[in-house]
Amino acid sequence: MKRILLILMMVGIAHAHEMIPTYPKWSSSHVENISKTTMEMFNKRQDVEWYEIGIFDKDWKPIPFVTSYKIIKVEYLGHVNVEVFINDQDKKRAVYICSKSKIRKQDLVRTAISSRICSKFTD
Amino acid sequence: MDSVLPDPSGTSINNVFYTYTPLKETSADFTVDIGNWNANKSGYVWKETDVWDGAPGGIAIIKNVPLPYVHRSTFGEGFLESTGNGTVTDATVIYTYKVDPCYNPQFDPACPGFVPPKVEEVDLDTLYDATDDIQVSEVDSEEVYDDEEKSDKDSEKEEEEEKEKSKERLEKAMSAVDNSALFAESFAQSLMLQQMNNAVNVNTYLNKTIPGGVYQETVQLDGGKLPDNRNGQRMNWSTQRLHEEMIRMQYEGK
Amino acid sequence: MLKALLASIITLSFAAVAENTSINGTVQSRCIISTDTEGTYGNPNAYTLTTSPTDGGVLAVTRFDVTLADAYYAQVTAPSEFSTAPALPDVVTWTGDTEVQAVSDATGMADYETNKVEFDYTDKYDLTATGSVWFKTSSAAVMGGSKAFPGGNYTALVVAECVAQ
Repeated sequence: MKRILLILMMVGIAHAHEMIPTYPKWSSSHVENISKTTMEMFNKRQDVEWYEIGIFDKDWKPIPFVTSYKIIKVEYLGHVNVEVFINDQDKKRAVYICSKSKIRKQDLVRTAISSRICSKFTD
Repeated sequence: MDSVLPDPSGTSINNVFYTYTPLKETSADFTVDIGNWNANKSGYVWKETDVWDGAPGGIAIIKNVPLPYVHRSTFGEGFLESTGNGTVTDATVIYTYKVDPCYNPQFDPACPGFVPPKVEEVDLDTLYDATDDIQVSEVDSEEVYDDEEKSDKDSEKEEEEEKEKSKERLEKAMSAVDNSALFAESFAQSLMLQQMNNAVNVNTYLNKTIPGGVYQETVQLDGGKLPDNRNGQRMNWSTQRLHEEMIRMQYEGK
Repeated sequence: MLKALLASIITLSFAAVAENTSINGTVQSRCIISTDTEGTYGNPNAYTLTTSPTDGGVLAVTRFDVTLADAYYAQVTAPSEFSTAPALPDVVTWTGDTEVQAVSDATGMADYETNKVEFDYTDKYDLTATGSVWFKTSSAAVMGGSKAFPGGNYTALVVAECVAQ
C-alpha cells in the first residue's frame, strides 16, 4: 500500500562516530626518530563519551605508540584532534589506526553498539 | 498531486524521501521506477530507477532525492512502477517543502513587491442624496400635512395625557427607590442577625462539656484465703493460758 | 571650514567597520558509524534471551555512511558474551548473525549480502558503493541444561567496525 506523507521538516536522530583522515600520513616530529600524525574525531553518540586509540599491524597485533591519553574524552557533538607519536622502527609495521568507543558499565542499561573506525596508513 | 501537496500557492518542494521493500527471488531481474511527472506530462520533475537484478528480496531501500525548491505548480502525478518478477511492499514517499508567504506580495507590507492599495476617489455628485428624492419629500409633506389638521382640543388632551404619564413614571421611580432602601435595610438586619448567631455558636463551642464517664478500677487484688499460722499456734496458746491464769488468780480463793 | 571638519569627523565616527569571518571545512573520504537502533533481549522462556521480534526482542541496527567507494569494509560482530549479567548457573550458548536491512543505492549495494564473508560471529562486507547501508544484528543466548536465567540486568555489545582498505 502506498503512503504519501507531507511534512514540513524531517528530524532524524542518529548516534554517529567519525574519524578522519581515512589515509593518514606520518610526518617528522620535533623529537629525533619519532614520527607523528594527527587524527580528527567527531562524536555524535550521546551514549558514548570515551574513545580508545590503537595502532595495529597487518595482522591486527597492537603496536606501541604514544599519545596524550589513550582513552580520550570526546563530548557529544564535539571535535577532538589527537596527535599520535610512534617510533620510526614501529612506523614501518603500522598499518591501521583505530578509534573504538568505550561504554562505561554504569551507562550500559541495555544492549548497545560499540563502534570502531580504522584508518589506514599508506606510506 | 493537488490532494497531496498543501494549498498555499507559495509552496516549494526541496526534498523527496522514499522507502520500499522489494520482494523477489535472488536470481530474478526486477526494476523499480519512482518519481513525479511535471504538470503537463512532458517530462519528470524527478525520477529514480532502482535495479534489483541479482539482489535478494526483503532488503529495503531508503533514499533521499534533493530538489532545487520546485514550485508546487510544476508537480504533476506521482508514479511507482516495477518491471520484472517481484512486488513492492511498504512503500512510503515523503515530500519536504517550505511555504513562502510572500509569493503573493500583497500578503504583508514587509514582502518585497508589496504595492500599497490605492484609495479610490469618489465623486460626491454621483452619490445618492435622499433630500433630492421627490418621493421622499412627498412622504414628508404628507406627515406635516396630517399634523396641521389636528384640532387644538386634541392637542390639549394629548398634553394632559402626557403629564399624567410622566407623573406615573415618576411615582414608579420613587417607589423603586423606596423598595431598594427597604431591601437594603432588611439585608443589613439579616447580616446582623447572622453575626449574632455566629457569636452564639462560638460561645456554645467554648462552653462545650466533654463527658468524662466513670473510670472503673481495673486493678483488683484477690485476697484469697488467709490460713492460720500453725507456727504461731504455740505462742497464742501460751499467751492465752497466761491470760486465763491471771484472771483466775483474782478469783481463786485464798 | 570648521563646520565641514566637524561634519567629516562625525561621519567618520559612524563609519561601519567590516570584518570577514571564514568558515573552514574539508571534504574527504570518511566512514561514519551510527547507531540506528539499540537492541533489546526478549525472554520467551526461562532459559532463552533473544533479539527476535517475535519473541519480544528488538534487533540491533547499525548504519554505515561511506563517502568514497571501495575505500572501506564493514565488520559487524554479534555478541558472544554478556557485558553485564548476574552470576550465571551454567554455560551459555550464543548464536548471532548480521544481515543487510536496507540500502540507499539498490544498484551498487544489491550484492553486499551475497558477497559477504562470515567467520565466527563476524560478518564482513566490502563497501563498494557510496551511500548508506543498514545492518541488522540478531543475537540469542541459551542457558545450558535449560536452566533459568537468574533475574537481573543483561547487556551485550554488538561491535561495528569500519576499516579502511
